[in-house]
Amino acid sequence: MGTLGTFDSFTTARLGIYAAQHGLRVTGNNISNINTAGYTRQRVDQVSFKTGGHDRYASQFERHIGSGALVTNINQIRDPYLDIRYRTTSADTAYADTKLSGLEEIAAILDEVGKGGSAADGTDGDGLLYAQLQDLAEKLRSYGASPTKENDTLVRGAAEALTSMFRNYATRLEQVRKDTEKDLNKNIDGVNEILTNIRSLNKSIRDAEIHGDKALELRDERNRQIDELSKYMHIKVEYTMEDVGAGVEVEKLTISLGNANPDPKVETDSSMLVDGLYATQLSIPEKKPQINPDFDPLKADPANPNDLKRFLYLKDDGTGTNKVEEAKQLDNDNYTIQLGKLLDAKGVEWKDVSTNWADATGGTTGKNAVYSYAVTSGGAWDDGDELKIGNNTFKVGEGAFTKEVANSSEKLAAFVASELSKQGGDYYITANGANIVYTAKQAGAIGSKGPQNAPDLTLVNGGTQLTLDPPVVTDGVDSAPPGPNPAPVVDEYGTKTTVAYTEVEGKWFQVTIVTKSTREIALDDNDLHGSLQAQRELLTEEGEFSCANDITIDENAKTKRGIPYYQKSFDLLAQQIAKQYNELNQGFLLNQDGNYIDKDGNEILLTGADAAGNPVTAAPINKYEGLTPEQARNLIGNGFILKDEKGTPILDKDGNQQADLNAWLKGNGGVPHEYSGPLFSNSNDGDDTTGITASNIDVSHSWSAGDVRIVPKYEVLFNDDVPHTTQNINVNHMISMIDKPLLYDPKDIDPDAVGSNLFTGCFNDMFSNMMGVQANDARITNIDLNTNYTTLVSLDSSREGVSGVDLNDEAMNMMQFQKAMNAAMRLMTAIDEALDRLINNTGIAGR
Amino acid sequence: MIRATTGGVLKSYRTNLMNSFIGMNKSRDTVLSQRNFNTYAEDPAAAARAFRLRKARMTVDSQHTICSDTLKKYQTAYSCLQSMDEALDTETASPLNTIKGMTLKWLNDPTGDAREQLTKALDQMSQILVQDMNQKYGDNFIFAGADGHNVPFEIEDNKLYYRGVSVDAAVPNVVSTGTDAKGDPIPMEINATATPPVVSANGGSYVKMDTSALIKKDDYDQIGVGDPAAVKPTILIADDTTTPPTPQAFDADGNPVDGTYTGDIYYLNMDKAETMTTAEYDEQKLEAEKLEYLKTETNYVDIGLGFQENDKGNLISSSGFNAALNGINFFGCGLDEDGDPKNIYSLVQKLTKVSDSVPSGGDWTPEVWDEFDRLVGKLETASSDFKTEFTNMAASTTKLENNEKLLEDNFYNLQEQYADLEDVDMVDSITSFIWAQYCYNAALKVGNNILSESLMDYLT
Repeated sequence: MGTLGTFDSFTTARLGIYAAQHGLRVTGNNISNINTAGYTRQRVDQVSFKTGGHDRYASQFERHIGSGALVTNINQIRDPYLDIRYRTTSADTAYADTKLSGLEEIAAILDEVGKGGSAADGTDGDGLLYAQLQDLAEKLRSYGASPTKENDTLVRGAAEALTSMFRNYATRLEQVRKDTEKDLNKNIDGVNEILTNIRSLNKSIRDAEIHGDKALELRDERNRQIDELSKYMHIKVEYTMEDVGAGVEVEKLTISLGNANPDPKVETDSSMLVDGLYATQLSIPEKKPQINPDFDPLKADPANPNDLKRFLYLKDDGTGTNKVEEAKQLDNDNYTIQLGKLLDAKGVEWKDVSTNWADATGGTTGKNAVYSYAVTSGGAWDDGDELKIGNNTFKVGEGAFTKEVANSSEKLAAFVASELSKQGGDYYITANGANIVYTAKQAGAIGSKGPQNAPDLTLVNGGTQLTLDPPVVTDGVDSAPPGPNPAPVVDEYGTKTTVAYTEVEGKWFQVTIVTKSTREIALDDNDLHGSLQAQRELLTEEGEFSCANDITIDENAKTKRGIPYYQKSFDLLAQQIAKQYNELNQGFLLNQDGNYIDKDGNEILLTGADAAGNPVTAAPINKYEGLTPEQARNLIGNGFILKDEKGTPILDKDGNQQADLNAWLKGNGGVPHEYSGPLFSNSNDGDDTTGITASNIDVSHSWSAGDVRIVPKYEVLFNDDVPHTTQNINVNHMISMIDKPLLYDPKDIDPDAVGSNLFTGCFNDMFSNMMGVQANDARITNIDLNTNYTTLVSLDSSREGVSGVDLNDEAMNMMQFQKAMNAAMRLMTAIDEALDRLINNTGIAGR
Repeated sequence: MIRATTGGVLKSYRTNLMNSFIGMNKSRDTVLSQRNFNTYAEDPAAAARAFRLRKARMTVDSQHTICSDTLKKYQTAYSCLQSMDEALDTETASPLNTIKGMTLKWLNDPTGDAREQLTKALDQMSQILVQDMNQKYGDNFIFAGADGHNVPFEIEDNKLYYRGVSVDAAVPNVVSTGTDAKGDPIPMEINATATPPVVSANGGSYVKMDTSALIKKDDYDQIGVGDPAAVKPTILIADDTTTPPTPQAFDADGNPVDGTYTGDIYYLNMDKAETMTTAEYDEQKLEAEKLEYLKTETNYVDIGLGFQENDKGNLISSSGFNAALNGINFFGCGLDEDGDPKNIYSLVQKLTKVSDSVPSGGDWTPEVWDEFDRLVGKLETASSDFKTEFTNMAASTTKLENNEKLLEDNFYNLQEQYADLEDVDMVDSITSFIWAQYCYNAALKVGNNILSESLMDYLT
């Protein structure tokens, strides 16, 4: 358009005004949303407008001039790479933050730095439980110096305070666990709400996009939701284009788990969370499927579809499955999170159908039957002569049935064929020269796959003026596929593959339809990251108390310590104290030489057994020297074997069974001390010492009632002829027990535990160790949190740098667009004035 | 960062302001709590060490209480023993107020004018000594060993009993055939009622060892030679189934010997030898064993010497303090090689008996004087033993005193050590707080500028 149109310049000015106006509106929108959470600054995309083509009368000296500016789009400015990094770091930060919060809650119970005591006597900061253990020691020392009933009462008071503290600590730890469990469930609900929101936003954005709207504000909200989701778990966000038909493509958002599991065999850590219009929901079911520890699909035997390595879960019968609902159901004690099926807003399950066409080998191509009747016109047709076709009668000279048509065999055949074809039926009826050709519409033999009947052209009635030869017949042939359609196959993931043979235009094709469907997935132990995983670990990790199955699921389980670790450590400490003091307070009387005696003061003799099982001379049993090897052999041989509460033999360090001397003495004349009895039990209502934990440990009922006291000594001097009222040998055992290094074996709490030496030290050291473990974990997590948080803030600032609204920027834009608008308006005025001169004031010279 | 946006700057500012505030708060907490760390996690190594030191302090505190208590008991015991020492023979005291002085007076009183008074005074002094040994500290008897709730010494029929056991108990010295695995003699059992008495495994009697009852075989054989009227003494028979019965042979020390013995053969004159039933022997032996046990009885307390048990569950003696004061160790017990008591009370009683053996107003014979003098010598030995034990006890008291001081020093040292770990350097912490506060104020000031200025403010 080299030639300037009269009003084209107005258009240029108008487009300039429009563009500037858009710019001002976008600027205004940016400024308005400067404080809107998640808002991404917008920008006007405008291009120089230029019409194409050449003028008919274009001059070679003409030059093309643009016609103004067009606003093509309003865009957001985001950096996807920063989003990815931000969301990854967000999961790391949330993981450390949540873990640290949990550890701080544990520290509020365990950490006794600065607690306890009184500044008045300089004991402030001695701790609570820590100091109480020492208080018990102090009272025992006093009892040892003077084993009176009054001092026994003082020891009992210290023990009551100690057990009360244990119970208090255990209750508070359990409360932390319950609170964390509630938080986890609440967060699961939060995640589900986010997933639902994202699905809804996906639909809204998709709908808007189909109609040409970018839906920027919805994208902002979706990004905000994705950011929020990234706190809960490590995610991977992908954008792809989806063909919605009619050549229109729209963006599709998929969010999957971010491959957080370090175990390369695990695939569930990239499970889909959102796929466009479909989204899953998280749940923590009461039951979980039994994980197949041998799952390793990459190593599965390709020829064996039942190879156990292929399957994520195990069924009741030990075979594998990849369907949660078919798997053996176990109690969900480790808060396994399950992903539901991908559903759309209406609850319809996600399906992905793909079709593949391939040439088929074999098969028979069908052929259509053809009947060709030769028509011969007599050539003497005249106006008024009649030709009857079926029920219709045609007269020569009327309509299309002219004399010329009637007297030409070819034209007559064409006319008849045309009229016959109007009747429909199994055949296409056409004319071919002077032939009327019946071609079957469908391939196949007549009466089989082709027409039901052969055509019967008897309807033409034209007297001698028309001759119809018998038909030349080409028989139809039935088509046959290469074989029967195979039965649909459903693989271990529920993907259905259907194969069918289809004949298209005389050619057989093999059509393969693969239908993938959604399924429930039980996540592996480390598939998540972020706050959900931190809460799960706080709720489940047992450190050295982990069993072999825990290690199978997570090889680092032994070094991860959550609330159960501290609960079990407390249980172990409480159990150890109860066990040691109960044992010391439940013995049998000894004589002055340390030999066990019966009620008459006679030494109890125990026969031994040599290696061959032959009896060895009976001998006294000395408490401090212990059994002779022969005596021990005899007891073990007679079933007096030391066992734990569950009846499992307790082995020595060499793995040998140990003799249970106390059990033997009980039935063979051993005499308990008059004060003898358990000092600690699992309830103050009785003297039951089984299953003592930190949450139930108490001073035994008998001790409380005064029926049992601390046994100062078991020795009876010369059959009680010589009194020794202040002897304290047994109390000294108890005093030395305070500082005695003891082995804390996790198997004492959980026989399946893989750890065998949690700690070796005295009671106070064990408790200090618990504080230390917690403190070190908290310290490391704090460093982790600070590192991640600093990175997160930096990334957020970078994102703000790209996507955030800046007032200076917007002020500049505002001025720029305002000036542009003013200029465009001025241009319009200038053009107006020029045209006014041209229209109203040109050519009036000389008037 | 390509762009610094308003939102980005504000976010960054908020984070930094929060960090500044947290820092100031932490510094303030340090100043207020005056502690270097307020949680275990802030400094796990220091916290662990501080707790260990605190535990040590609590232990020392508790041990100090026990040590002080034991020391007081020992100091009381010291006073008692000092009083007894004076009563025995302290030179500074009036000679007639001491046992030694009285005995000397007795020995140097040939006319016997004051003998009866001295005897009564000796008896009373011995009673006082027993009373001294029955002193209490608090609720417990001091010298009762591990039986603080019962009176340790009791006198019955002028015999002294310690915790029901005669202080003069001793294993009777009987003829033995050898020693057992423990080194104890194996008494030779005889049938004392047989005629003549014969060695018999189930005879029911033992013969007390007395070399004066031995008769040389040759001497025995010579009896009646040339004097048919002479009657041979009854001797112990080893085998009465032979004809004539085979006498039991002994060496000069009274040890049974067999036919392989080549030295001089002796027979045991049963007319002179004393016998005792096995039951009597066992009873006396048991009493002696009891006394032996009570002599070595221990009662350990934890005064900060380690207090640890060995693998067998026995307390390592050096790790505890034996607080048992066994009265018989001071007072003496058992019999010496002459069969005299070692106990001071018993010796005094024996002296009074010797003294009483002289008729009232009569003169003592040289034999009585010799016996009295001999027993005074034994009494001096017993006094010497008492002094040795007293000295040992005094040394233990000093040990306790030193230990008490050591525990006190330990207590303060430990307090100082964990204070070094836990307590802040106030100059440093206040400086840190002021600096943190200054930074926070500066951050606030910066914030005011951030919020106020932008290009918008300059548009006209």
